[in-house]
Amino acid sequence: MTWQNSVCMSVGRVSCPDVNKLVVGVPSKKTSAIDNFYSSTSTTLTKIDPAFFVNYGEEIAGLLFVGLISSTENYFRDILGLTLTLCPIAQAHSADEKVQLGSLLWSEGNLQNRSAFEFFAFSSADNINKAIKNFVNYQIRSNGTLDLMLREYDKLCELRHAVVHSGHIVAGKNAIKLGLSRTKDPLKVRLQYAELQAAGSVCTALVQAANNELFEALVTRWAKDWRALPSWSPSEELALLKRIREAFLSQRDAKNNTIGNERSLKSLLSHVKTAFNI
Amino acid sequence: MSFEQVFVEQAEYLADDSFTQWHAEHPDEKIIIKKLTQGGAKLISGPRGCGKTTLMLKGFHTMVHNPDAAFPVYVNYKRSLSIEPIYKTGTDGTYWFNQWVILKLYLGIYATLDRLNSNLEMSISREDATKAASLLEMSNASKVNLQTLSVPVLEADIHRVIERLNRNRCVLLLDDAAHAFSVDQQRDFFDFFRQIKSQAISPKAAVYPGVTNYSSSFHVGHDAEQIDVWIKPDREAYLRFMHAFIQTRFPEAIANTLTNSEAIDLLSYASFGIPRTLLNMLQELSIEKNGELEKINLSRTDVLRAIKQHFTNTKKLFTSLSAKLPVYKSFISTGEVILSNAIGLVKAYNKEKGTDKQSVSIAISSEDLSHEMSKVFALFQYAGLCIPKDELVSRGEKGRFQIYTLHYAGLIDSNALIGAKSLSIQDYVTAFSKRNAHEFTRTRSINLIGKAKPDHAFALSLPPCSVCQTPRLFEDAKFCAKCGTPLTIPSTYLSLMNADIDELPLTKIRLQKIKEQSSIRKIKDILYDHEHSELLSIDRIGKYWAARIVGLAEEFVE
Repeated sequence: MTWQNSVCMSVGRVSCPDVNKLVVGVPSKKTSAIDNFYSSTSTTLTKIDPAFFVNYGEEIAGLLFVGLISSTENYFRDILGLTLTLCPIAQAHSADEKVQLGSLLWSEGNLQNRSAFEFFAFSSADNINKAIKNFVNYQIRSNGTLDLMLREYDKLCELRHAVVHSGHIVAGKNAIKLGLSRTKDPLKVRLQYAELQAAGSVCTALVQAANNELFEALVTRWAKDWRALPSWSPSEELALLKRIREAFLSQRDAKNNTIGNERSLKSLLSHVKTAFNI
Repeated sequence: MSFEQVFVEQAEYLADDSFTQWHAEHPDEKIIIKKLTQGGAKLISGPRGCGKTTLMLKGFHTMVHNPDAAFPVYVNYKRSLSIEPIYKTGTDGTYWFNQWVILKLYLGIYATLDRLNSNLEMSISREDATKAASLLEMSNASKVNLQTLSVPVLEADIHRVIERLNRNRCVLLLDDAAHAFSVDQQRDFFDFFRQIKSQAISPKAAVYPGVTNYSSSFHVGHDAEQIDVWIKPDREAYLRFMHAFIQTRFPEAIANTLTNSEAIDLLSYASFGIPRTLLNMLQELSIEKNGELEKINLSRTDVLRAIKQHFTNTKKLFTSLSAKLPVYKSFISTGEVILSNAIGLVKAYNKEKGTDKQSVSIAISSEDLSHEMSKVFALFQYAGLCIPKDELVSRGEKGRFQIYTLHYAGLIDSNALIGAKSLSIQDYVTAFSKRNAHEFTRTRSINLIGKAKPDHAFALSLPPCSVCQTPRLFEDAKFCAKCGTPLTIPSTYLSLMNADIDELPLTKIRLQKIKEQSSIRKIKDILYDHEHSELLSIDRIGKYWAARIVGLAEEFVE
């Protein structure tokens, strides 16, 4: 034994399990981006009994909290991918954007547009803003709900940093951004069941706001901008509106009667045409 | 003078000349008006109908044409609950509510400028402000096309106005500020209140005792001084004030016959410090001829009947809180039991006592007064069912006691005075005027609650998950613990609009007639009844009663 082995035990070299066994194919869902988000956050928020948090709150809630942010990031990948597929203006604007070759080489079919955002982290308001601006050519409405919710989401993202990178200890950079007072002792993120729910509520409100605002932007383009493009075909008018609606419509909210102004495709068409004087 | 004019209850609905002629001086009026017209933030507090609006408007009139006074702005926020659905639709409620509060202030500033024949353009035109405010009141935020209004922008405009008009400061009289029972709105409102106050801008807001929620950063006493304007019926000046109120309101010949009557003293005591209530009871007793007020019937039977009816209506105001504050539903049903038991205890206490030893109050040891019990008494205060003594009364080793004076009409209704069944009007008046303030009925919380277990009596009524009906785990839960659906609290405004008309303080017979002879069932049916046509088709409902019923329905949802 040498002096180098005098501080802890060592089991030597260990292999990672066969990576093929660590992954499993999942059928791609035909549900909308927002329903995918609802489904994954519901799982995160309900799989563990609330009583469990009393004993193991901090550790488990931290991991579930990261899961919520991850679901939110995934929503943005899904919806921006769909927007790129649908919108010729977004396509034209993002034509010069760089995409990682690996993402394209590996992706197939539907994943292709989503893969444009693989290298993008949506774990900050700034990144979401940039992605929407650079790829969709859309500026988020100042002081609108999405804008306001992004500011709230940003706070969660600062905390996420502590959970993911430093065992719940808040780094100085994050503490400053959160406006926390200086302390002698390190600050640790403390989450319990109620706080996890509150975080879920922020992510949900953000996704709902993004879903509504981007839907409005695309329908506005359908009504105004797309018609001026050479690729516009009047006979596909209804089919295109249907595709937009399907990309954004939450079947879950429709089922629960929690959509403010639920409209059938026909009624949507007539309302939009009236609003834009088409 | 027409019958209709005499009985207009709310100060904001009185024409300027009637307002000037028709009000008696509050016993503390000089001090209150001074506080309302000078610098500093103030909260003017009291139950419905106690005269808050009258005092605010008096303050406004005092200042408006006096060039040495502050520039006054009067705004009534009674429609604030109609903004509440915006909080529920996912649109940013706080943002839009804040915009609405500022828009209404701009409209108030324009109204004062009109009175001063002054023209001044501000950051938003009157037309745009009117349009945006009414769109928001119809929960139509998406149609509002408005540059964001902020407190600094408003401040800058106010500074320009006071500079131009050469006034030293601006006083904002914010009436019915805490009228809506939406906790979010009240918190947002007091955040705004705190932000707007400055050396040059003094906000004064009307609030209710017991039910107002302040924002976490707002501290009563520190951020604003509270002024209680409820005229307590045990004050020496009480009957004088009520008589003066009648003198100013009624034609001289009728007023003179009224103020010399003991029945009026009893009605004044029974109105428990609320001038509006006295007016209501006198209206019940009035006899009209050809639309003109002929006389007031003051026979013992009719006076007692009017008092009983009034107490029923006051209790209804209390029970209607379960629609406005659904979370406190069980507090309100337990409150009914508490009130009845409290009156019963006072009745038992008074039975063997002389006229000068009658009790009108109950005393609960401060140690025995739980948070939940205090909440019930706070809700009583909102409805005007009890008056708390400001300070705790010490009884040596027995501890310190919180004393609550019970509604006099409730005591009359239950024969809780003297112990005889058939008291004369004079006996009642003597019992109230000669009673000894040191006589009160000591009791314990357990005796007031009765058989119900405290956990059950004061359970919060939280709506379950709308999808799987699983009960909420805790008050602030955001998602169902079983199915993960976001938990929502339904809009109070929409629930009130859909409430049964039985919730209105109308007699059973009248309610029955409305249902039998029209399609009106819900509050919204009354509000959507174009030109009162359905109401006017009902027997014994003429123009006056139709307007009154609509007024009650409006008050219910405001």
